[in-house]
Amino acid sequence: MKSKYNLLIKIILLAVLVILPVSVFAAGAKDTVEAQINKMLAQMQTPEYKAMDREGKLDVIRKVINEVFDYEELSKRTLGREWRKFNPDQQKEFVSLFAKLLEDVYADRILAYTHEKIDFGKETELAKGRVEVESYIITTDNKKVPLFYRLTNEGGQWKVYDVVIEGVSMVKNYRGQFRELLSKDNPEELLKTLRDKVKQKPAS
Amino acid sequence: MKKFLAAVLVVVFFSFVWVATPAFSFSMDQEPGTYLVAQQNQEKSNDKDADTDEDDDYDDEDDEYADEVVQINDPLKQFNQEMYKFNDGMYVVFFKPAAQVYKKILPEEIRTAVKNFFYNLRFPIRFVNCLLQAKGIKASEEFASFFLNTIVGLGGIGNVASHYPNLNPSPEDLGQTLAVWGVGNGFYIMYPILGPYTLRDSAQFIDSWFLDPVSWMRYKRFGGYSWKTRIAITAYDKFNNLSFQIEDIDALKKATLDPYVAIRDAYVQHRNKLISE
Repeated sequence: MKSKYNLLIKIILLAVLVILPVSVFAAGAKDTVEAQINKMLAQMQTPEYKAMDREGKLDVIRKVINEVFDYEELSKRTLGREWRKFNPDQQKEFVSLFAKLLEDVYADRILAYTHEKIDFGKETELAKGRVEVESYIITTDNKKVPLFYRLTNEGGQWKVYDVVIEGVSMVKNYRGQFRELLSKDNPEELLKTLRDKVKQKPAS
Repeated sequence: MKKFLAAVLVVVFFSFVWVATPAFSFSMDQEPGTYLVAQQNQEKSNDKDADTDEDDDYDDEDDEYADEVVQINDPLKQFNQEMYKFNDGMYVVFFKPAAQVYKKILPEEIRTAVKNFFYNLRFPIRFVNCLLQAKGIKASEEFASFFLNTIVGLGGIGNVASHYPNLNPSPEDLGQTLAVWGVGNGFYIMYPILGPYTLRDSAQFIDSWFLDPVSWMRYKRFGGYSWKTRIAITAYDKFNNLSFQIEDIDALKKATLDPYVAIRDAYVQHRNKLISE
């Protein structure tokens, strides 16, 4: 009888040891995203936030987005092999311009999505150090819009490097566009296009 | 004689069940549809000239900044780009303002009811394509959703099935069926008004002709309506859907540097996701 228990304990211990590293590893990414998003949603419910004007609201949202996104990683992945065609100064400018573009687009979108609920699903390890966290925007008519975050853990903190909406990867989508532009133009001209785009007032 | 016929019928029925059951359970366990897609992907990734590359490139272990782009043949690019400009012009000048007015007049509840009604009505397209792809579970989910929404949701205006996480599967169509059968995208086409398709996905027009109940209205038994009426009904459905998408379309246009390429890419990525489901 006693030996049976020993065996059982050993099996449980083994199982815990096997599962533990995975769950510790995996918990980080989802918790990070979930905490940040929930923090933002909570902030959006406060009377202070509601009293703000459009720009103020956008600033609040932008702050959260900037904490979550790793713009350098995102830029590198988006440009792919073209990244090396940019000199360090150009790379730096690209990162800041691209960040500005995405920030505006996403802050704007989040501003519009106030009544919807967000559910978090499972997370999957894509490769070593890279995780996909599933989230679903529940629309007012109860439809689920899948919005997956992809995160890396470079530098000890989970940061988003890609967002996949309804199966469409943002990084991949921009990569196609930049590739197209760079097939005609050089990096400097691409930066100019980006500058113009960022300066553009939001379309009504 | 009647008894004999009844006995024969019973035997035929049960032998059918017996024959059909293993096939059904196979399709439930193995999801041959998915398997085919997986196999197809594998073949495609071996073959660099393939039309689409739906692998998640940077998910490959070694390649840090793997930089595949969505591959799609676009031999009609000149024409397509002109069509995109035309469609976008129509959207800006006509459809968007009209949809904005429509949105102001009709409350969201009613527009949602219209959307639900037409989605529910097109059940035959989704159901038949589930069967063509041997996706048994999905077919039964479609059927259950249709049944619930039609009976409890009053002819489909309420989406009761959306309260059940297992119902409301992603829609199937003939384009996806062909993909599962191994047909490649062919090339990209931007149709006037109708928007982006690929040659293979244009098979959805066949769906619309044979399986769409709105299209059945051409038959005497369903009223024998003219093509003008049928197109008007379909156009209204699309227009009603558009009233939900104005913000998304505008955000997309604002966010992109090359909207033509962005839409082409997003179309292929989204279709690949639907095919894999």
